[in-house]
Amino acid sequence: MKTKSLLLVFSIISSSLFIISSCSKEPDASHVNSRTLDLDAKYQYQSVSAEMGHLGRVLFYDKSLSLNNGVSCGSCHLQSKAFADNGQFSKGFEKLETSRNTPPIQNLTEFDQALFWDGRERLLQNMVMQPIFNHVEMGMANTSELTKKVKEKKYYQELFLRAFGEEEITFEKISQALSGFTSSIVSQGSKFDRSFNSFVSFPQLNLLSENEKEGMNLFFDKYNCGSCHNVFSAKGYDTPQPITIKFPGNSSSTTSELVNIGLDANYPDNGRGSITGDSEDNGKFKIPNLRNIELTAPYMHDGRFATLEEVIDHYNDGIKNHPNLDDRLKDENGQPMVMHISADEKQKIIAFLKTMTDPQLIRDPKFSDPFIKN
Amino acid sequence: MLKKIVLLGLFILVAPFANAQMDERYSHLIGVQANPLFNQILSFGNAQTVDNPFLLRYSLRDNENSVEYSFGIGYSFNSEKDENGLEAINNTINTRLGWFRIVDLGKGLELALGGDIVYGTQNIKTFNIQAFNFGVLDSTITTSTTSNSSYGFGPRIKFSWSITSSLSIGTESNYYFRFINNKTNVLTKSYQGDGLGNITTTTNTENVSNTGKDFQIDLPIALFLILRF
Repeated sequence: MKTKSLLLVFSIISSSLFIISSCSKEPDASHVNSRTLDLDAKYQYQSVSAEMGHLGRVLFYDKSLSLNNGVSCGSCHLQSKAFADNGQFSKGFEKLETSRNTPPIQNLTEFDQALFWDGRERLLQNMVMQPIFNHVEMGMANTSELTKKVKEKKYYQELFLRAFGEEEITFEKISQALSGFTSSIVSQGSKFDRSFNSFVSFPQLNLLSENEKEGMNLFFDKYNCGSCHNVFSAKGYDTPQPITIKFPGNSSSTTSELVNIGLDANYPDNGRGSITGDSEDNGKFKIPNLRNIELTAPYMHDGRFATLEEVIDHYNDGIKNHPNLDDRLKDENGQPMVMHISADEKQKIIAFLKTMTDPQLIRDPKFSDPFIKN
Repeated sequence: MLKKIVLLGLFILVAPFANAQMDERYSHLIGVQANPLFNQILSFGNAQTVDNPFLLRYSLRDNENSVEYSFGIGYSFNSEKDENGLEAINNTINTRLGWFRIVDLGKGLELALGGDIVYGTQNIKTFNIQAFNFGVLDSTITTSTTSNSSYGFGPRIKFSWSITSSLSIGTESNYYFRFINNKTNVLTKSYQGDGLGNITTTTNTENVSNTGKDFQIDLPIALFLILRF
């Protein structure tokens, strides 16, 4: 009986695995998108010339910058989502998932800020090239292969000539154009920004409704969210002074742009800690800019929270104890804070957060895909 | 999802043949990863992603010496096509062989400490067409094929609880070190016009290969239903 049972079990298992593994199919060529590209620079950009901005825009949306011509920067950074996307993780050139949630691109400066969730880069010109060479995201092998592919596209001769005054295409120029475009993606058209922020030319006070104002008071005063999320700053948090950057082997302290908010007692992804190798950095991630937060769900470095309600629930009573938990999230006994946010307060805070949605950014044609589908 | 349904179906199929024969020297254990089933029953909601690729495992247990010889396998197939025409087909197989020492903790609880050697392959094929028309034709057909293989070893700890004499529920944690070989071949065919009606066709083949090392910890998130007979 026993031998028969065993044989039967293995027969079933083998047959099933064989059937599953036979369910393969060949790709088909039925889906062809023909596109056109306008070479003329029509728009003015904040950080760079119109020609440089246009070149950066074409590079940003050009799938030729990936190993199999399958994805571009714009495949994961969608304009309609404030240059984030709505997946927990994004999919790269082979449809494999990235390990972290795609952050939005907005209000980035060329220098001096934590970039990526773990803050491993501080120069935008370096940051923009890293996904291109990431083995999951765009898969390019090296800089010379990238430059070669860009040179093979005839339209770039004209675009580089207009942007740089010469046709020569180099890796540095690609990087410069891409960072010029991304640093021009500026969000300052939200109701909140138009009401309060000094960097808006003509602030219109009192655009917020009573509900939204109450939410703002809760955000800044009662629950002290603004101590990390300084939404009066364009980049959404305060850069500590002096900034001390930590690299492996360097014992200096880490910048406070990255904090541990008690998502887990043990983090599967240690964030900053995996860069520095220092256990004091475990579980620390960059403080995100809350502009357009309504559009960038899901939330956190691993996209674990699908809604803003879930995010507030975490801060309300979901903070886990961790040796590196930020002091601002501890009570007087050093334990994870329980905030007792009521349902009404939660709704008001969310109403306030939604005042930071910038409708201009997501519709501005100068940031849109220049490869127009026919 | 399909593979998990198939494996769960397998488990249900083999269940009637199971006989508890604990008095014999050897017994056989078959386990299937059952997180989707538990999620359905217990409504875990925002459940954590399960990364453990070994969906099905078989163990031969030497009851006399409290040791176990274990084999695990996992297979996944995924075919996906996005709105821009990029199509990707992914076949992944993971296998492992291991040896364990069993520790009886009493009250149906059991701990197994040991290690595995692991081997896995992943084949990914992508296909897409880009067609531009801005005065002249500029079209590209690209096919890429990636083959990853990995082999390694590492410790594993299993924890299980017997629901009945022939049915247990268990989880595991492992820490595998792997050597990884990666080979990618990209075949690009380009069709470029000169505006005068002439089209130049070029074919380019690019081969990229690299090797790497990887440490991976699987936390005890995967839950297994284990049948013993």
